[in-house]
This record gives sequence, structure tokens and C-alpha cells, in this order.
Amino acid sequence: MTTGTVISESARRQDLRTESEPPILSVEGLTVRYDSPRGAVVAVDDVSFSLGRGERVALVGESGSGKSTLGLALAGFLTQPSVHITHGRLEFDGAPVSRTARTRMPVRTPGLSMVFQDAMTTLDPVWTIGSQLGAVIRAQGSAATAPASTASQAETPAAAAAASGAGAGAARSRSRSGWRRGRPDRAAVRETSRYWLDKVGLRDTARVLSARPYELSGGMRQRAMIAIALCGAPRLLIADEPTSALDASLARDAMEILLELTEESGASVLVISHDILLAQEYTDRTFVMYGGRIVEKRGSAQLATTATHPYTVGLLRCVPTLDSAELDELPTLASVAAAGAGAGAEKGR
Amino acid sequence: MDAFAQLAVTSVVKHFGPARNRHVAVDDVSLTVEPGQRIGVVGESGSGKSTLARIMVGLESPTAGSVDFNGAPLRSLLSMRASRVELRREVQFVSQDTTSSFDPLRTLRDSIRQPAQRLLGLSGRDADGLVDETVALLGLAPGLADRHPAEVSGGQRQRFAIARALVVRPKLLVCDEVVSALDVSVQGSILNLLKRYCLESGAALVFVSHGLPATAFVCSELVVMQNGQVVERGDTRQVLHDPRHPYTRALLAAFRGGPARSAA
Repeated sequence: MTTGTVISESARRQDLRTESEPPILSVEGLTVRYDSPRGAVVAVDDVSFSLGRGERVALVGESGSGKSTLGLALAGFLTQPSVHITHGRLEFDGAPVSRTARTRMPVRTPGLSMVFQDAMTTLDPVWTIGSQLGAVIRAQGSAATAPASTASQAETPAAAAAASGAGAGAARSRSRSGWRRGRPDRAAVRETSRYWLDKVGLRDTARVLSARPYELSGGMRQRAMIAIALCGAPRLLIADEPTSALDASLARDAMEILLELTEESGASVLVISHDILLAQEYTDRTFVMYGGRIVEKRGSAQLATTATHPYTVGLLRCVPTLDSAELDELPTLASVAAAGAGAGAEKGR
Repeated sequence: MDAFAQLAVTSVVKHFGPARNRHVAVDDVSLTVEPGQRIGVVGESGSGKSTLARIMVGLESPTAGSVDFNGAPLRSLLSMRASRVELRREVQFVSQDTTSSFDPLRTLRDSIRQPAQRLLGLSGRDADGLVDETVALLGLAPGLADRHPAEVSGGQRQRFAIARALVVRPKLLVCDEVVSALDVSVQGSILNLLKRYCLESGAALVFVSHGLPATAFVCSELVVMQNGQVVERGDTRQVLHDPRHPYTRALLAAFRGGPARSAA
């Protein structure tokens, strides 16, 4: 693959980002039920939406609203027998999401990655970061595509070499000769690993590669996880509370890295978060979820002014800001609702 | 032992790890807390604020320096059962990690009843009454208390953790990131409750959090930590409106954020 074709390809992708191309993900009538000792719980209730190519959407809501379940269902992580998923049309990148024959549940989709809140429990505690990152690079075999699209403006010759090296590996692994024989060689995997760690701002790559998760700080672990999620060149990244374990400035850093890198590769992002402000600030559209349903879909920039669902309005009013220091009492959903009802009664008179 | 009058942390240093690869979590911090004070400790992960909180309640022992409760060393108070019970009645700690701070095999009611019985010496029935009262104070449905920790949501578990601390009506409450994992609507009611509890009972609060807006709401004073050291302290309003240290200014800027943030 030459640089020229890469450029024209990415340019084409930019153009096609408009209406003409089908959405990366379309979901119709997705319902998820859990069996529990207290009866069936409907966690996600008849949800329909679509995600455009390169689009960034925030899915916000509170604990129990079903937002994480929705993300897990889409990523194919809900395979327990106690979970029942039903859906209408469910397409990823124009093709129906593959399902297991027996339960007809969505299974893991190539091209779809997920980042979780808690890097400590998501990463394997006994493997080094290098081996976990390397495993994805080898298994996906597609490590080339993401770096290659940036190789045209590659900062270092090493990065370009990494991209092309891994590309060769990827091509080889596509032949059905098996994982062991087709994988890129050790040096190429290591180069690609370094490239991705560098990308997410972990500059001390040698140390990080040989470190186990507990040897890194929370912020570094989260970055390592972002690298692992992105090195497989996903077309859609589902990030479930990617920053809530981090503090304010680290959260912004992680969010910016996530979005910068997906912008580069043109991947779509679905950010699941309870932080309505952070989500709103970094995304194109915001979906608000309540009681398993999506109750509001708005452009993120206009959310504060155009939200109509009382839940969204209440949520926006509840967020503490630095000005809250002046208040005697913070607004809560209950107090906002009561005030709203009071105002409504006034108006009624 | 007398009722809580002062908790003094003097020149406390805390190291982790072996000498050749030492991590200095808390680096020469002194702080006193007196009844009615609401002190917010803010700073980023790794600034040493959680370690400081754990040292204040005796969950960690400092490498150097001393912690004194009403003038008596905390360590000696903790070493004897009678004074330990009295100390725990006066000082309670709520951790950020609620999964590991409850016994998974006992119901939440059992876990909350235990301090009421052991520290206050109440009978089972009286303790139960106090548990119900405290659980209701935190806006939790009474039936939830009979579940196990794994059967409630993270937000509910966090409120049960606060209930367990408040059930003995402590005079000093040390909270480590208690609302960081909670939804904004729940956050608001918990913060209101903590502030009201302190104002009404005259209890002191040490509130460790990376959420500056929440901390500024609850606390009357702020302590800003960076790399284990206190870089700024002062009245909440003064720190917010007239920060002296560049780090404080950077922290404030992160929360003021982009236009979307300040507009909301």
C-alpha cells in the first residue's frame, strides 16, 4: 500500500462521511432483559438509533439507566444465559451484526472496540502491557490500517516503518494459514506497540511495555487501555465511562487523546458517561437515557438550550459548578422537579 | 476520653515502596481540624490526599511525624480497646472503594448495625431503629438494607457506606472521594446531606475529592495538594476567586473548562 492510495482513501472517507454512506451502526428496537431472582429486569427498552461515520455521540444517563448494558450488548459482551436480547435491524458497517446461532445474540464484531472505566480490572493483572498490546496487534492482524492512515504524516521514520512492517504482517495473517505462522514478527509487533503507546502519550515506552498494570498510575493505565482499544483499528469505539476513574485534568487529557486519535482514523465514537457536561463538550450529538429508553437526542452544543425532556433539563441543572460554592443547597432532581411543577402551576393559573 | 476537640497532623511524611525506589506520597504536611470546620482537600490523583485522609483516621501509620487526637497520639489510642471504641465513635471514615469496604457475606443492615451496637452499646432492636433512621436520612428505601452489598448499585452502596459512618453520629467525618463515582442527582443530595449534618451537629468534616465544584460547595476551607505537599490553603471563596499558587489556578481552569462547561 503506498502513501498515495492512503491519502486518496482517507480523503474519500471524509467526503463520504455525509449522507450518502450508510451509518456505521444502526440499531432498531433493541431490548435487553436480565433474569433476576426478583423477576425479569428490562435494562434496555426498545432503543433505536444510528451512528454516522466519524460521528461522536454521547450516551448519558444515571446508574441503572441501561447505558452500559446497551454498550455491552452492542459490543457482544453479553453472552450470559441470564441475558435476553431482542432486536430488529442491527447493522454494523452495512452488514447485519453476526449472532450466535443458538441464542441469536450479537457476538463480538471485528472493527468494534470497547474501552472500559476501570483499567485495573479490565487489563490482565499478570501480563505486561507489552504482551497485552502485542496480543491484540497479532490477533487483529490489522494493525496496519490505523497507523497507515497517519503514516503519510508520520512524525518519525520508525513509525512509518512500524506501520508498513505491521501491514505486511497483517497481509500475511489474513491468509488462512493460522495465527501462529501468519503473525507479524516480534520486532514488528514491538515497533507497532511502541508507536501506539507513543500516540497515547506514554513516552517512556520501554518501561510501560514491560510494566504490569499495577505498576502504572491510573491515568497511565487508562492510556494503555486506549492504546489497546485503538491498535486494532476499530471503525467504532464504544467507550464506557472512559474517564470517570480519573480526575478532572487527567479526564480531559484522556478524552482529548481518545478523540484526537479517532479523528485521525475516522472512527466513530460512542461515549457512555454519567458526566453530562464532559460528554456534551466533546461530542456531536448527545443521547439521554432514562429507565432503559433514549428520551432525548440532541446536538451536543444545543443540548442546554433545546432539551425538552424534564429529565434532561433536571440533570443539567443538578451538575455542581464552581459557582455552587455560593449555594446553601445544591439542586437535586427532586427539587428541580418540584420547582418545575410549581412554575407549571403558576403558569396554569 | 473527651469529646472531639482537635485532630492535629504534624509534619507527616509517608513513604511507600523500598528505599531504592521510594515513593513519597505525603511530604511534610501539617493540618489541624476542629469541631465545626469543613476542610476540603483537593488535588489530582497521586497528590497524596487519600493517603493523608487514611493517616488521619489511623488506617495508615506515617513514616515520620505525628497524628494527635485531643493531644493524645492516635497510635496509642488505637492500641487499646476502650480508647479505640471511643475514638471510632468520634471519628468515622468513608472510603472511595465501597465494594471492598463491606463484608460481602453479610447484609448491609448487619454491617451498619455493627457499629451502632459495638460503639454505642445499643441493643439489637435500638440499633435496628437507628439503622432505619439513618438509611432513610440518605434517601434509601428501607428494604434495600436487607440486601447484600453485591445486590445494590454502586451509588446505593456508597450511600450505605455513608450511612454506616453516620449511624454513630460522629463528631469528625473523613470522606475519601465519596461522591466521585455517583450520578449528579445523587451527588447533590449526598452533598446537601453531608453539609447539613455538619452544620446542624457541629461536626467537623475532612472531604477529600478531585471534584473541585463539589468540594467547594461542601467545605468552608480548601487545602490544595500537589505531589504530597500542601501548596495552598485558605477560605473556599478566597481560593476560588483569588488563587495564589499556579497549580491551583490550573486546577480551577480545568473545571472552568470550555464554553460548554461555563455556560451550563
